[in-house]
Amino acid sequence: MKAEPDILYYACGGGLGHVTRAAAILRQLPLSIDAQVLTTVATPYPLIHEGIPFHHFAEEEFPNNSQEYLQKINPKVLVMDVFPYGLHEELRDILPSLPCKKVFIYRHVLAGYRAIIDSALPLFDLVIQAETAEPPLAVPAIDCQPILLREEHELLNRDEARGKLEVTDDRPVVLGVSSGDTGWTASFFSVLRKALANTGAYAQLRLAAPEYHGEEAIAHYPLIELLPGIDVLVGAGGYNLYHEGQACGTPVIFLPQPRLIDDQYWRTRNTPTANSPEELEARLREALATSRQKTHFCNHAAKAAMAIASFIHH
Amino acid sequence: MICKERTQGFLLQKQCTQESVGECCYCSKPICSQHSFPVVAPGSTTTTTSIACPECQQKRDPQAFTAAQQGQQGQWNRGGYRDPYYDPYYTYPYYGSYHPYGWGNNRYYDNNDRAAFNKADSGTTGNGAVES
Repeated sequence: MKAEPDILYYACGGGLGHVTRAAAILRQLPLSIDAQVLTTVATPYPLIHEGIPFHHFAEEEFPNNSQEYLQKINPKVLVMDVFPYGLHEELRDILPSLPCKKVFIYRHVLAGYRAIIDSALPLFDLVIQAETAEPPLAVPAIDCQPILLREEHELLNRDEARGKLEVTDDRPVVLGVSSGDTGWTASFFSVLRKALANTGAYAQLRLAAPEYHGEEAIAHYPLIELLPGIDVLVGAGGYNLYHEGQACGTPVIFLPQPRLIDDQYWRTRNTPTANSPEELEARLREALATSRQKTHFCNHAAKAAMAIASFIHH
Repeated sequence: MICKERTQGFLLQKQCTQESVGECCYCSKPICSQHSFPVVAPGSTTTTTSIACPECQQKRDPQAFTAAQQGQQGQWNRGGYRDPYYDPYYTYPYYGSYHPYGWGNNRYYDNNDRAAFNKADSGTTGNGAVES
C-alpha cells in the first residue's frame, strides 16, 4: 500500500456494514484524493467492486500490526467507523498523539458502549452522524443519515430490476438477504423457504448471500440497485439493509440478531419483525398484501465524503 | 452445486438433490440447508460459525446429533404424513417457486429453522452475539 495516503478509513468489525459504509463514502470522493481502507473483513466485496484499495489484517494479528501500520502509513486523515479506539481498543494509547486529522463516523451502538464513544469524541476533529443517536451526542456532529451505496438515479427501474432478477411474469418477488455467517444463512434461507411456501402466496423467492450459489441465488452488486423490483425484503437488522429498505420504500421484514456492539433490536423497533417461523409467515402474508410506499429517497454519502475531503489540501 | 449428502433408503442410499448452501467445515463436502448443522468454526478464536455435514457432526458431537435427529423425526411424523423436508424419497418438485403445489402448504419447522431466531443459538457462542 502506498504510504501517506490522503485518507485511511478504519473499517473493522464483523459483517459487511463497516466496509459498505466505507465504500459508500469513498466512492464519492474526487479521483485526485487517495483513499484506502484498513479492514478485518477477508473479502470486502463492496471495496473490491468499487475499486477502493484496502489492506486486510486477520483478527489474530490485528491489534499490534494495526498500530504499526497506522504509524508507518501516516495518513493525512484517519476515519474511524464506529469504534473510536479501534476494534480491540488498539488505538487507545496512540490515537491522541497521531498528527493526522481524525474523523469519527457514528452509528447506533448498544447502550453499554456509548460511554466509550462519548469519552473519545473530543479527540476527533469531525463527527459524522450516520444514524440517530439516543441520547444525542454531546459534541457537534454533521447529520449524514443515511449513508448508502447508491444515489436514486443509479437505481434500476422496476422492469430492469425484475429482468436482473430473472422474473418474467407478474409474480411478486421476496428477497432474503444475509451477510451473516454461513450457519445462520443456512437456517435463515431454510425457514424463509418454508414460511413463504406455507403462505401459499404466488410469489417468487430470491436469495442473496456472499457465498450462496443455490438455485434462487442472485449475484448482483449492489443489491440496493434491485430494490425497485423487490416486493418484500427479508433479513437481519443491520445498518445497510435497514436504511436501504427505508430509502426505497420496500416492505421489509427483519429478523433482528444479537450483536456485541450493534443494536439491531433498537434499529428495527418500529418496523415489522419476526421472532419465530410462525411470525415470519404472518409478516410475509401482511407484507405481500402491502403495496410499496412512495418515499423520499435520501442518501448523504456525498455530504459525508465532502466533509472529510475538506481536510485535504493539495 | 448440489448437496453431496446421501440419504438412507430401504436398500440403497440416495443422493440429495438440493442446492448446497456451503461446505462442511470438517470434510469440505457441499451440503444443503437441510443437511447442515450450525457449528462453531474449527480453530476459531472469534464467534464465527460454520456448518458441518451429518456424518462429521455425528462423529464429533453424537449427543447433539441424536437430539437434532429426534427433533426432525418428531416433525416428520406430525400430521400423519411424510413431510417432504425429511422424506429421503421425496424429490422437491418445484424448487425456487412457491405456487401452492398439490400436496399442500404445511411445511414444518425444525430446530435448524428455529435457529435463525434463537438468540442463544443463532450461529454464535457465549452470549449469543457476534462482533459488529
